[in-house]
This record gives sequence, structure tokens and C-alpha cells, in this order.
Amino acid sequence: MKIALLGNPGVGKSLIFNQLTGLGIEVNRYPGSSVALECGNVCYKQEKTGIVDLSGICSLDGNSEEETLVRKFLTSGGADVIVAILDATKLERNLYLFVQAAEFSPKMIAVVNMCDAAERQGMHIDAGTLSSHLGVPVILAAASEGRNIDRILPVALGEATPARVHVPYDHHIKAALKSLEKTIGTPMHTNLLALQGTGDDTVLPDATGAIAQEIGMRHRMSVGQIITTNRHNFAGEITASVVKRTAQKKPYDLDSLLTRTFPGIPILCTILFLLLLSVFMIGLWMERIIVSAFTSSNITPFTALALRSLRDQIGFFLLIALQAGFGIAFPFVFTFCIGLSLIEDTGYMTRAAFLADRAMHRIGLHGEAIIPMVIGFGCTVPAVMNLRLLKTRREQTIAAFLVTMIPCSARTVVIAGIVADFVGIIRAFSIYLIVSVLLILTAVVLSRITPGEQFGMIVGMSTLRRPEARLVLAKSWIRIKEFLFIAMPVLIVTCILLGLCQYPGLTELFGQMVAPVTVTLLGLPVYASTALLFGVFRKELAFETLAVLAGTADLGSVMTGVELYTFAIVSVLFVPCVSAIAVLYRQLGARIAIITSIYTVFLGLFIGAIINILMK
Amino acid sequence: MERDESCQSPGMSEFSDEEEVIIRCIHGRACARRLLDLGLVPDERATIKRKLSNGALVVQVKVCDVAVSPEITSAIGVERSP
Repeated sequence: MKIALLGNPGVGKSLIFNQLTGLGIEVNRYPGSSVALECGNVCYKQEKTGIVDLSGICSLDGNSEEETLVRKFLTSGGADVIVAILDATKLERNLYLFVQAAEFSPKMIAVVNMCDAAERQGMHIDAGTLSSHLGVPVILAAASEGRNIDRILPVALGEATPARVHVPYDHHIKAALKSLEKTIGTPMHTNLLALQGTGDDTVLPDATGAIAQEIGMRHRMSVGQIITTNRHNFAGEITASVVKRTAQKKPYDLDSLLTRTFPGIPILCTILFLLLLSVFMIGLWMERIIVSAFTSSNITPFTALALRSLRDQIGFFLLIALQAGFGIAFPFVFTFCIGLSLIEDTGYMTRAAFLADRAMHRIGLHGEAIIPMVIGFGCTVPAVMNLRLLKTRREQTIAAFLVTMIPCSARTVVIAGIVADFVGIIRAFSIYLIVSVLLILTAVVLSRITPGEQFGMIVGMSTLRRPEARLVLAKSWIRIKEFLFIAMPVLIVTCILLGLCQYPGLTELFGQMVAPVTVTLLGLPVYASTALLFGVFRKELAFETLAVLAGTADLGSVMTGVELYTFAIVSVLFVPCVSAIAVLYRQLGARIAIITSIYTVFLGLFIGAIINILMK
Repeated sequence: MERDESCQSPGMSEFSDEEEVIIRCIHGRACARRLLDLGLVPDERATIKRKLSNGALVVQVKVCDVAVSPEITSAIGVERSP
């Protein structure tokens, strides 16, 4: 048995998913899509039930990757029951999606979530009347209080039924649907999509094109507009008949502060600054505790064993890898993941997008571009995947260059672990300043030379809410898991490989070959070239390899402040990691992936050389 | 942006904070789909909640707030609500 949760973004779907499944989440990718689907299992009445958290969408008629994915999921019967999660405070818009899903005729139930918030606003929903309108069981719930969440599984597994929803479409649309069903035999939902020029059927649009054009001419409105308006009106009528309002004192609207230029923009800058500062401060504090504990409990006793040379070398490198991964990278990645999830879960990100719209327009983008950019502070890979939020090739190309230059959490590890720790926190922030200036210059140039059009931002503002600790932790855990189970093994294998290469003197040979660049141009020690090279696999590796090759995690004792600063900035700007290049290739093609990589290599070396000359 | 010549209503970007308008038409196929799905359909009432100096707006429609860039707001033909 499989259940899928369907709903608009921000309706509390993920919280309900977590309450139903616990923290045992798997993140799967739907075949042919880069959109992640969270899956989990639950045992109910001694039977295993799979639960899928579908991407939050506003409609099933669009062509975005998420909408196409959910549409395919519904048409292929991906789940036995669809649990439609509706936001009680925005029932009308949520019913619009419900009505669309109902036309695919799956077994459904409706969960009206956020009833607590609706009650505070003086809204009372009549579940019985709503159930009779929709023809499916309705549960009034409040996930934040855990109210009625325990009823979802029994009702979904025992009482779900196809919805009885009949949108009173315009008579021309009705006639067209009847005619198509009779002549071609395709179901209503396929015909509705084809009339609007969307959907996955390749033959129907030819047949429906002329009909749609004729209806459009008669109404002086596109078929899409007619169908959408009919559905919205239907959803509006149901809402009016089930929602009773009582007068309530209007709560203070935080948006009166957050969406104004002042104090909105200073608040935005403060939030981003505090995010980075907390990563530095908390990360450094955790790092010192873990590193000193690990050194005294593992590294010191191991070196005291004085094993034979190769075994000693590999064992030592393995311990350094574990120390670097858990002790250095993990504290910063962990803190950043918690911080980012916290900001995302407050619903603030859409306010940031609105405020950033003006600045983003100056660099050929629009406000929504700030979302992949902020995600880019965490990891470049999901940031590149989120470039699909931008609708045109021009916007995606410009943003691709920018997100690959943004210091991700792995690069933050390099900045915090090397510069903040050994050179100073102000110097660490100066790297962000240099990168910001380079980002702006790159964006200004790209906005002038990149051909194509600008689409503009259309974004539904999320409701501001208090983040749920459980959900923040669950979200952070998915991100941290990626580091622990994907990056850590890579770190360990790479460090062992490094040990094997260093034993016969291969790393030294490589260092000598590229010495003109590392030593002469950048003023770094010979072994730094190997560290920079390993940084291409994972950015944290640049730092960790440097610690391994220097033979100590106390880099301040073997390198000067200028050397550490130059190494950090080259490493931050230098070509994105291989995973980011691979995702860039998949999303935007080989040309953009190659150009971005070459550009960042030259930029890193150029800025590194300038710093070396100026600060030496 | 592709314009529907039969619709002469001024763009939403010409209105200010707190003004209530009625949507009359949406120009341009590309952005229309998303606007329609978010409830910005012809004859729908909308309130302009916030306007930035570049013309970007936060519009309230069907109790939901939608943020739109200036090039999109100018494609939404509206009339002042009576």
C-alpha cells in the first residue's frame, strides 16, 4: 500500500510526513527528474505502508519540473491513495489544486491542516459540508499541535474514495471535452491539459489546437484562462459555503517591516551576516573540542605505536581524514545546515526574494535568483538544481556562474578552518567581501553579454511561522546525511590514496611540476598544489589535504598568515568541485560547465597572484 | 512582452500601496499560466500590499500574497476597484 501527500508549498506537508514516518526518510529521485521525493515507511495494523511526500505545487497544469513530476505520478497511479493537504487559512487556493487532482480520479482524502492558525484568525471550517462538496472524507488537523494526525492513516487506508467533484466548466469547454472523449476516447484530465496546450500527450494537441483557438476567439480569452477561472470560481464557491468567519483583532503584520526597503534590507543583510557568524563561532567552538579530544584519544596513541613506514603512513592518513572530516568539516556543515533550515522554515526566503528583486534586476536576474544563491552558501549542487526556478536560459546562465562562485559550506570550512582560525575572523569576512565584489563584476559583465530575455519573478509568499524544531532537525539531517554518507567516504578514500601517493614520492613530483604556479605565482609551499588539486574532488579536501601534507592540523605553525590567506582565497574561487561541475553539465550542458570551470580557475589564480604580490 | 491589444486597462504597476484593483486581462502567454494558477484571473479583486521603488509588487489575491517583478506587473491589466 502506498500513500502520497499532495499539496501547495508551505501547507505543512513535510511536518505531517515527518509525524507519520518519524525521521527515517529516504530521498529518492523520480526517474528522468532531478526533483527529490521524500519517501518513508510506516507500519499500520501489521502492514507496511509507504508514504511519499510529493513536491509542493500550486497547479497540475504547468510545465515546471515539479508539476510535470506530480502529474506523471498521478497518471501512472504512483500511489493507492492521495492525501490532499489543504491550508485552512488559504482554503480557496488549496481547493483549486484539489479540484485538479480529483479530475485524475485517484482515491483521495482531504486533510485541512493549520486549523489552529485559522481559528486564531476567526475562521471555522465545516468539515461535514466540505466532505459532502468534495465527496471524500475530510479531517480537520493542526500538525503543529499534532491534532488529528493519528486519524490520517486509518481514514486514508479505510475510507479513501475517488472525489465527486464536477467543475461547472463553460459550455464551450464542456462541448469540446465531450467531443474529444467521444472521438478520441481520451480521459477528461488529458483533454483539459491538451486544450490548454500542456500535458504529455503528443497527438492530442494537434486535434485540440483548432478547437482551443475557436473557443479563445469567442471568449476573447485563452482556453487556459477560462478553465482556470472556472476552477477558481468553483473553489471559491465551496470555500464560501464551508468557512464561517467571526470578527477577530487583526494580529500585527510582520510583513510591514520585512517587505519594506527599510528596515527590510538591513534585516536581510543582518540575517545573512548572523548565519555566517554563527557558522564561524559555533563551528570553531565545536571544532576545537572535537579536534583536541580526537588528537589525545587517537592520534597521539597511534603515533606512539611507531609502526612500520607504509602501515604507519596509511594509518596516520586515515586518522587525519577522520579528524578532518568529523572534527573540522562536520562542525561547520552541521551549523550551516541548521541555520539554513531554520531560515527556510520561517517562510522568510520569499521575503528575501521580493526585497532582492531590484538588485537582481541590475545584474540581469530577478528576486527568485536569491533562493539558489542562499542555498549555494550550503552546497553548490542543490543550488545549481534550483536554477530551474529561473525560467529563461539567459537567467540560468548568469546565475550558474554566480552560484558556482558563492562560498558553499565546504568552502566555508576552508575559510573558517584556515583563515578565521589562524589569521582572524575579520580577515575571514574579507574573503566574503572579495568574492561579493567579484560576483557583482561577473554578473554585470554577463548581464551585458548574455543573449536572451528576462522573465521576471512570480512567487507565492510563504506564510511566516515559528519553525518546528523537529522539522528543522529532519531537514538538516537530510543535508548532513549527504555529507556523512557521501562526502566522508570520499574524504577517507582520498586521504588513503594520498598516503599511497606520498609514500613513493608522487605528490612531491607533482608539486615540483606545478611549482612555477604555486610557489612563484602564488607564493605557497610546494605541497599546496596537491591540496588545491584534491579540493576539486570536495572543497573541504583542500584544507584537509593541506593539514595532512603539512603533517599537522595546526597550520599556523607551518605557514605564514599571507600563505594561509592566499591558499584559502584561491581554493574558494578555484574551479567548483566535481559534483557541481557534473550537475552544471546535466542542467545547462557541457559548454556552460566548461566555461564556468575555466573562468573560475583563471579567477582563482589571478586573485591569488594579486594578493600574493600586494600582501607579501 | 506579448500584449493583448483588445485589453486597454492600465498595468498593475501604475497603482500604489493599499489600492484595490480588479484584474481585467493578462498579457503574455509565458507568465500567464503561473499568474492564473496563483489566482490572478480576470475579474478577480486584488489588493496591492507593497510596492518597491522599481515597481515590484506584493499583491494579495484570494487571501494569499504573491510577489511579482515590474515586467510582470505591467503585463497585468487592471482597473481601480469601485
